[in-house]
Amino acid sequence: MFNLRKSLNFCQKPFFILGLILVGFFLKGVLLSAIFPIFDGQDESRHYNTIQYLSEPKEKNWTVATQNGKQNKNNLATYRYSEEIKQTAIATDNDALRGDIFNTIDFSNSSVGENEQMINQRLWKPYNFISPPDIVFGTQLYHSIGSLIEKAFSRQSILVRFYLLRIFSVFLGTITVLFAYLIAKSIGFSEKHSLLITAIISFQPKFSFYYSNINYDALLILMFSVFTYFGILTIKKGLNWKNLALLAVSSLIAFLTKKTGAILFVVMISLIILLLNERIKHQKNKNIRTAFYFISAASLALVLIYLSKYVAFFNESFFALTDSLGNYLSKSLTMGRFALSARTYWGTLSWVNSWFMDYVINFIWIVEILSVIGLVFLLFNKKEGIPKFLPEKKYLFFLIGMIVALQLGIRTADWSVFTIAEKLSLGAPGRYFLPNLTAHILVVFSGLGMLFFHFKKEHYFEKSLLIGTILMFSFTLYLIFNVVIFRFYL
Amino acid sequence: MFKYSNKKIILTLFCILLLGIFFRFFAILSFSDSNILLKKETLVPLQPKEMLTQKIFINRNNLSSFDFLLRTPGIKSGEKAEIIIAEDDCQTPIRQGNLQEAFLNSKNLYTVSFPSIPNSQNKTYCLRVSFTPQKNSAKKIQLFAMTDKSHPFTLINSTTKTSYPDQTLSIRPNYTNDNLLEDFSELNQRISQYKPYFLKNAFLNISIIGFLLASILAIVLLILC
Repeated sequence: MFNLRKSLNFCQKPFFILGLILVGFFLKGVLLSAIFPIFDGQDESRHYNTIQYLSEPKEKNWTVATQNGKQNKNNLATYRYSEEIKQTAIATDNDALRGDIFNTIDFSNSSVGENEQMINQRLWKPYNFISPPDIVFGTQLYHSIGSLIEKAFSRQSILVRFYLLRIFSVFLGTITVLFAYLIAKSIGFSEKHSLLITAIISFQPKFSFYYSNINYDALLILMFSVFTYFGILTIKKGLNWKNLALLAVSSLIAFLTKKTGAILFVVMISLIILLLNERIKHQKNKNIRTAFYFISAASLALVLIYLSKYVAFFNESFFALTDSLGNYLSKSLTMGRFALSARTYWGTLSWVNSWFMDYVINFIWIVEILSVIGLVFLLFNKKEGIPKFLPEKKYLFFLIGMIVALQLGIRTADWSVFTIAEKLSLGAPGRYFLPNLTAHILVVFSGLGMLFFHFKKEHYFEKSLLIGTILMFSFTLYLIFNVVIFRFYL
Repeated sequence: MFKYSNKKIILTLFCILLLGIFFRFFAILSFSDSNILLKKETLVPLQPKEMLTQKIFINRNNLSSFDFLLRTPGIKSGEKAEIIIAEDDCQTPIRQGNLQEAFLNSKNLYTVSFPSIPNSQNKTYCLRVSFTPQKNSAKKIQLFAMTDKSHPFTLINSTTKTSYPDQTLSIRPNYTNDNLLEDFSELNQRISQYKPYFLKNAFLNISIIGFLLASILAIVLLILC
């Protein structure tokens, strides 16, 4: 007999709700993979071309011509991509979407596109006939994994291979959401609060959109989450070989995926030094303490020296550096740049005339400012204790450290490019900061929670999480149904 | 723990937001004639008290709106660009409306919406465009036109008797279907194009319904727990 009470009790169990959040995220990702047209994601055609390039036979028995002409960004066929990508772009009417926002592709009267059968006949080779190919050089771990999928389905149409790779990104994103829950629980949030924070992260629009694209950030963001989790466990349980190994492995995978991952080595070494210092500082033997500080400084210096080779201004004089830094900061630290970075971080698309889209960032900034006030109380006010429903300071310092490290890393790289190009050509688009989305949301709600506690309104904390979840879900739903679908299909 | 009444308030807020989003979605759900690519090739001026006339052949039922391309600065508050949709003879008006800024964020795109014309298929309609600026202003607007030598109808300024041979206004008709189910079916069809089999048709519906069900259920359970 169907027992309603038992069923309701089951539905309220945390693992069931977590399962719903993960399934919801995965299916949302699948839906977004379908809604965004082929090659429409951020740098997606380039990432896919890298995967195809790595999947090519080692023996290249075809003629490769050199092409150095400028690419027309409104015409994918002028790019140095594989023949298959270029012809598929033409066949799928990709140029119609690259031009003015008010045009769509030419739809047929069925669920099969005008040229879809031609595409499925696989008339074109997935090879690069032009050199140098437009691919990601250097860090190709994500693309190497992607090439396994590409090769496994090599007999299938490009539509199957391409969209399977998008769904692979969605799968990585689902694991990232799971780690978000584990991190929230580990730092001390209750089951329910952890679920709410996980839901908020899973509904963040840019995070959702990004994880439906073929892009190496899908693996990078996951590795940042894995690193954050094991960093928290290391702080919680102390240094042990298992956590250290996992920190090292996640840093290495992140670095092999994208150079941004190098930041994790710096954080890892800093974390080890800080934790060891807790043990060493009470050491009576001065020589041991001195040796420890020397080794710590040397380790950190070695890592920074290794990373400095990626930075263009390393050999500049002090005065030139100062001048360059001043110039860079005056151009990059402006309200306009912050607003642009914020808009791209949250996924507000400028495709529609919408009062809501114009002001949603302002609302988010107000919440963040309030959160900062709460964080000041939490971290620096010694009179009030930390309420039990919020994490301890040590975890928050670690999360804030992750955020600051990524900010410094991205801006250093941006400054490096600025010194060469003499203008802001890389910039700091919001998507570069997505690896710390989990840390960001946790820190924001910790700050809000402390603010409520300070004004003796602790019961508002759970309400704020619920309202945050509803608003974030609504924001994503609005973007999917009233913006993205409208732009590409109506 | 907080009171049941607070849960009701939050649930109500959630329902209102969902209803608002889907209400907006249904309001914008119409299908453009995707064969027509709007282009900004030439400009056709329209002075106050003048009228442009353009005939257009409609190949579907349920014609519900037209998109126009105007050069910036376009139509400002207090100004009006009226569109009259008339029969083939350009005399008998069927629908009329004013150009409004389109929902898409383009400074050039304007839309005129009207109650749908159910039996518009295979009919030729005459569009009459006129512009009324603010008081005491001699401002004109400029509409974009496209070169189309195969277009059977000539664009004419019926006031000045100027004709624009081989040119047609950059306009595009939009349509709805007889009911919401047919609208969803056509939307599914469009999204399914150039997708692999596991992202088409029924699979696409499963992902939409599954995502909405799982997410909404998770949120409702979190509210009620």
